[in-house]
Amino acid sequence: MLLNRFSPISMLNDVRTTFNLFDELTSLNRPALGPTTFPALNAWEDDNAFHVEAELPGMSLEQLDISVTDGKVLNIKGDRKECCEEGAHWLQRERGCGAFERYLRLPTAIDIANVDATFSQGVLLVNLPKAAEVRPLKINVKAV
Amino acid sequence: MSELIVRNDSPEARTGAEPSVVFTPRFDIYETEKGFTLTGDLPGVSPNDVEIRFEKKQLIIRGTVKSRQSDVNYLLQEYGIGNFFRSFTLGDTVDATGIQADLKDGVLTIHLPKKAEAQPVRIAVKGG
Repeated sequence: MLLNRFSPISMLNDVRTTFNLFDELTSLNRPALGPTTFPALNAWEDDNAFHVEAELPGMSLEQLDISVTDGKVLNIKGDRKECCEEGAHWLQRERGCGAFERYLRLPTAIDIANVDATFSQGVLLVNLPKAAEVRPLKINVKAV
Repeated sequence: MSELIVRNDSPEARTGAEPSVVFTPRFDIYETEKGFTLTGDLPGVSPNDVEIRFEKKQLIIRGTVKSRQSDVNYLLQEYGIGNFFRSFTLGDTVDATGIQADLKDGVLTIHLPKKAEAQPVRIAVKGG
């Protein structure tokens, strides 16, 4: 057997490993990747409904759990699986995976029975019709 | 970080006149014995809207996401859509003729096979 002589350069590797460990541990606290900020949402309204859109690449509608509680709180829940082959090793990870959950309180009551959701090309669109009592009512003005 | 994918190029590396806002899609990269796989989040992008080029060792991914709403007032806006750009510099071991890409559910997957001479060969050890 060959003698494995100590090289000072290996100490540098130890230092690097330590820093990597710090990086890994602190990454849990970085808000940008936290479960409360994923998915990012866009929301808008028209006279009859609210529309909420979310970017959820790699998911399907079956993997998502969408519900409305309290008459006006939209809840989007899911779990994004990571895809990595057997025997592969990561070179770079930016996308993130794991469970997420988001709540969105809508400004007015909605018609829960008629909420619908579509999912296409990684984009979720939830249409939430406003409750009849908060929709604008057109009043005809009579000429006298 | 492997030497084979040398660096992630900055958005400044793009060429030509483009709008000032260019989004940088997120990518995961993993390596196997046979090659590299890049997966990137491109929600709302149809296969016709993404252009992938490989030239001068650079893999360039660019395209445009068309606006899905016309002229609405957002109550909440946490993301924007528009042009996107990302490029990666690849090493000599990638077999450029075998690159394959597909886009499903907003996720772009690009397979970059290694050249045959770059793949490891298992050597059987005979017992005496």
